[in-house]
Amino acid sequence: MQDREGLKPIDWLVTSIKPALSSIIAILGSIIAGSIVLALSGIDPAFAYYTIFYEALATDFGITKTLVEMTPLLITAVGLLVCFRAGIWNIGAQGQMLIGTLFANVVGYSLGPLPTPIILPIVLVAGAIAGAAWALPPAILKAKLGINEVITTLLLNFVAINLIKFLIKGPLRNVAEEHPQTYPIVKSAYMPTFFGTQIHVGILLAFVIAAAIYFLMVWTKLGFQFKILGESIKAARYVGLPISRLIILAFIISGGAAGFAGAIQLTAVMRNVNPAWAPGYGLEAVPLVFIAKMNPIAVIPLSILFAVFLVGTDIMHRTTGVPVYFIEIFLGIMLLLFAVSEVVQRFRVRKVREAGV
Amino acid sequence: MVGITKTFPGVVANKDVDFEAYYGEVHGLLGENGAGKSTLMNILAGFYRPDKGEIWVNGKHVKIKSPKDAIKLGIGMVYQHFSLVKKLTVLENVMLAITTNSFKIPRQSKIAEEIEKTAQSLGFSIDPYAVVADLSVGEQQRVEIIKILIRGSNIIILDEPTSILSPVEVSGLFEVLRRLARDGKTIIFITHKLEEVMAICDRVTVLRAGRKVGTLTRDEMKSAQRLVTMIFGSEITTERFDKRALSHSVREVLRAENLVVENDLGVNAVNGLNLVVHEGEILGIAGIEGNGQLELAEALAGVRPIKSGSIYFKGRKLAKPNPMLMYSLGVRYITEDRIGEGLIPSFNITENLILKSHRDNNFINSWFIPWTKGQKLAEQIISEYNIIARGPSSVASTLSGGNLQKLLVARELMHNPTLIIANQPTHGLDIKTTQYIHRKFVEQASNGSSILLISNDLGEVMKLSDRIAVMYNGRIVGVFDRENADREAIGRLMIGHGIS
Repeated sequence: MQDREGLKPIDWLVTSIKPALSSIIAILGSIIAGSIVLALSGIDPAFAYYTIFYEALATDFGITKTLVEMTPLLITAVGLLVCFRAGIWNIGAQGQMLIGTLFANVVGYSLGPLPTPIILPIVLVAGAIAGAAWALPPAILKAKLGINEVITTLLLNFVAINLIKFLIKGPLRNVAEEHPQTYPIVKSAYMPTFFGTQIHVGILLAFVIAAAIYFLMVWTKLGFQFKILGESIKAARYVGLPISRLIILAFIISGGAAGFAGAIQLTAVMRNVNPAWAPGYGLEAVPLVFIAKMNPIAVIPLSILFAVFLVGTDIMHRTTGVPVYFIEIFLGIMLLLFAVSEVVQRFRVRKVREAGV
Repeated sequence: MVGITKTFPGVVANKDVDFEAYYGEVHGLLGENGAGKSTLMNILAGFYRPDKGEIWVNGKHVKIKSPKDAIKLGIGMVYQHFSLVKKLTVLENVMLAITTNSFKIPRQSKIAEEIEKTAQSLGFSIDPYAVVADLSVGEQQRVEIIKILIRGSNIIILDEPTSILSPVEVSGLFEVLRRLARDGKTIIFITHKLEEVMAICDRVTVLRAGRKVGTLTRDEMKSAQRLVTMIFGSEITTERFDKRALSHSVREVLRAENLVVENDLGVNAVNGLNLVVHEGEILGIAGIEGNGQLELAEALAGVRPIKSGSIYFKGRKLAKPNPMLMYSLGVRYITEDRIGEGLIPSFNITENLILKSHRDNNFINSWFIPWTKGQKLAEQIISEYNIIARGPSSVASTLSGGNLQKLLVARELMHNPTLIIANQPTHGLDIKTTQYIHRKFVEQASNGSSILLISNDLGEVMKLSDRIAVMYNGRIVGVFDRENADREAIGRLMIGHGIS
């Protein structure tokens, strides 16, 4: 993946763009397709895209919002990246995040007013642990019995959604409030922000975690073993890797990351959980990792891009009335185009190779 | 079939082959691996199109362009790996086979009746409503035969049908085949087992290296000697490496006792095998593919669990061999499956080189991978083995087959291993690379490593080995010293002749 040889800059540019080609085609193509959708709805596409990028990147409010939105997306995505690289298709990041968030919430109000440096890490780690725990049943089923994780993780999302609805409306309900919601976390567990803005420490944490995952995947034995497992289970068996242990570990990392991301959202933005809260981060992170081609560096700009579109369309929706569903159409087209261009590219490579030999 | 020629890129699979089978006979098609038996029959079944030659069915000159044409002409083939949908019932599978290209679906009950009737006429019974996955391998094979019969086939080709069956099932199959022949069907029976040919076939055609050697009648078959010569040829390889100065010691490195290992289907592929490998010797395992060699290699490398029996390493019994343990004992395994198991195509040369050794604390003693160290190693291996590649970060999938194998061999020969298990190490390689790998093996053995060389190529085994063990039906059926290794005697054992 990383070129460790001294290449000329121009060669480097060509070799680094080539693998990203299908991702670039997908992004540009979805922007074009999106403009057709906008034009059909009677909205000037140029104006719409200008609004999206302007609102999300050029105003103080927008850029703050973009970074805040990027944070859970990036953390969830790098966690999923480990799993996907190991050939494990954990589609349950959403449920893992919900459970992580709710548990962090409970820990965040039941410990009492401890000082921030103590309680905040505890709350965040609680989120990660609960997220990892929610990923554990599919992990064990996959590792020990070979049960397909796509089905188990996907279905556990629905279990998680309804479980937290039940808990918030029932045992964990804040009786002082009219609408069902949980008790808020204590003030000292709030995520510190910089200079009175909404830019919070969690944003930095996201970049630190992304860097750690990059390090894990590129420089450690464990990351190397995940990659062997993901490329060929036969090779993993041949080498004698502890396959079950690796599967469970990959689930724990991605579930933990999702739970951690939720806990950051809780401490920095939400403070408590209401039953209407259904963040898409866990679902949006899946196409994001694919379009990043499971490259831990590429995940960072893509998380920002996704956040720009999420924030931009949200603001555009409020100001111009463009339905917020536009983003879903947009992401759907992007994933579709990515899949098609991947297949086309692979097909062409094979053809060229056959002709050459 | 007259004058059939078929070439694949770089290989002539069939060259001017004439083949003739009559009504009501069981016709054996005999030859070594790669003799061109399967190619010839795939041409008849419409899967390949011949480059040259004519096919005549029922006295008419026909052109078979696709399997569909073959089916129309009443030709059906039973493959080693069945073409059954395992989750469907027997009836549904048969329906699938006969309803292709038609909107009219025949009545199920009628077909079910027909299945039962056909089975009865062949001397067994089968439940049309049974799910295929629940049937034994032998029963599944019968379903295949029934399927082909109901489709209206008169010529039935069976590709090594006994390789997956237990001895009892084999005699059952023979009974079925005899009945079919009595009903006037033509049975073509592809095999490389002499005893089976002698047990069931009315005539036999022998292929060698893509050419027809001859056809023998039942009476002529009585001389096994003649068949062996036909299969393997009479020319004795003279090419052999000089006996190494180091006379192999009697110190044993590895011993297998009563080893039993299952294959993927749960059949005992290695069945009570005994074997000793001495220090510094090349022990060749001669045998025809599918006699348990793969399972033996995997068991000794720790990749496949052993069912019973024991493995001793330098006199110490190994309780539960696993790849990591065997690696740490200095056992290396050159797998037959180069791409996907031995090497990862999307990984670069450096990554492939440390695929195993990254776990070795003598090589990397930390959690981290020192890539520069790996890269240096890769550079060294590339130049030492003359691997044609841009550099250490060249992705394996861009390398040619010969260079890939050099890479795999290089990795497994690193750090003076104690024992190298090499399964088909030169299969499909060009002569230059083959000779290079052979030289490396001899060099390594001279340095004191033991090599267990498993190969389908008898010439290769004879060329390199200090001792030759013949494997047949999951057992070692004979061991020859280099001095008295007789090609014909070995060949006879390989096809199971003279084994009680």
